[in-house]
Amino acid sequence: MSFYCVIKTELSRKKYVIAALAEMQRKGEITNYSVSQTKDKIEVDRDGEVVTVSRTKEAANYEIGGISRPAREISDRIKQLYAYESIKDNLPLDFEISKETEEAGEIHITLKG
Amino acid sequence: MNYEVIINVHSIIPVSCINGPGKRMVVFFQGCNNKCPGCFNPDTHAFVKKTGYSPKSLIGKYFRAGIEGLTVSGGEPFYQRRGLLQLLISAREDYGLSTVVYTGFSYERLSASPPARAILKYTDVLVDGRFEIAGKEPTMLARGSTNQRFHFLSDKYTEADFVMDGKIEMIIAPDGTITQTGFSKVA
Ligand code: SF4
Repeated sequence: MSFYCVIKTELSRKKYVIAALAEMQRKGEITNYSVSQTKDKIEVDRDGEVVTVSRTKEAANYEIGGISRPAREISDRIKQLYAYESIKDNLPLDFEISKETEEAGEIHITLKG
Repeated sequence: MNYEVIINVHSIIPVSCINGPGKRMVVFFQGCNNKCPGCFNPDTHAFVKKTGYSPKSLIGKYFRAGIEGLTVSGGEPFYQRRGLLQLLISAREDYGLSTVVYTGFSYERLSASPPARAILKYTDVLVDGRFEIAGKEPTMLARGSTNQRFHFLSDKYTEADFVMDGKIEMIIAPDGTITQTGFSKVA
């Protein structure tokens, strides 16, 4: 039998949130994002629809606020790319990525190790 | 009497690229009594009710265009023989899918049982044998340990088709949920 487990992605680390937003901007999925210098808050602009990514204390996860539809869509995509960035960044040394594909909205990563 | 069989399912992956040849739907059956030390999926052992599906509704609900086959894993699929048989028949006859079944029982033991023989008729490849932690598969062959054997029961595949691109697959869904599967795991 092969292994099976499911992990829910929580937005706990700012660097992966920003990496996800940078990737979304690069792919043209959002127009822009700006990181507040004073608060733990990022404003995301998608063609004039603005949502916020913020948290109230450092131990909490980031939450997405704003109009519900864009907030949900942007939140899901941030979580997906956050997961992708954090998997790549946290691979144990004895594992390497042998294949990556993106299809039907899913990202598949195959690891050798 | 004709009544509908319900399969007690632990989980389903609609598309996996590491559980046998090509892209495959993977169904993990719930319930196993084999107690292989170091089993990857202890959550699948208990004979408790998880999610029930009729075989046809299961494939209908999770089928995605472009998959070439169904892989049945677990848990122990042969503890739900009627459901397993109907699932394999539906996969092959309704959807044209190839079928791969993983089991902790030996091929010889299954071949000696008429109900299990009926299931083997609808199985393209049976991967048999208990998981042995001391003999973990070191190569990219799609099996947990080297004692497990591939039985090619049709001419659809050869052992070369079971050499995967890696040991582990991470599938990140559009909502960020990560499914990890394969024949090793990231600690
Ligand atoms: S037969 Fe499979 S599911 Fe059952 S204990 Fe062994 S490896 Fe685990």
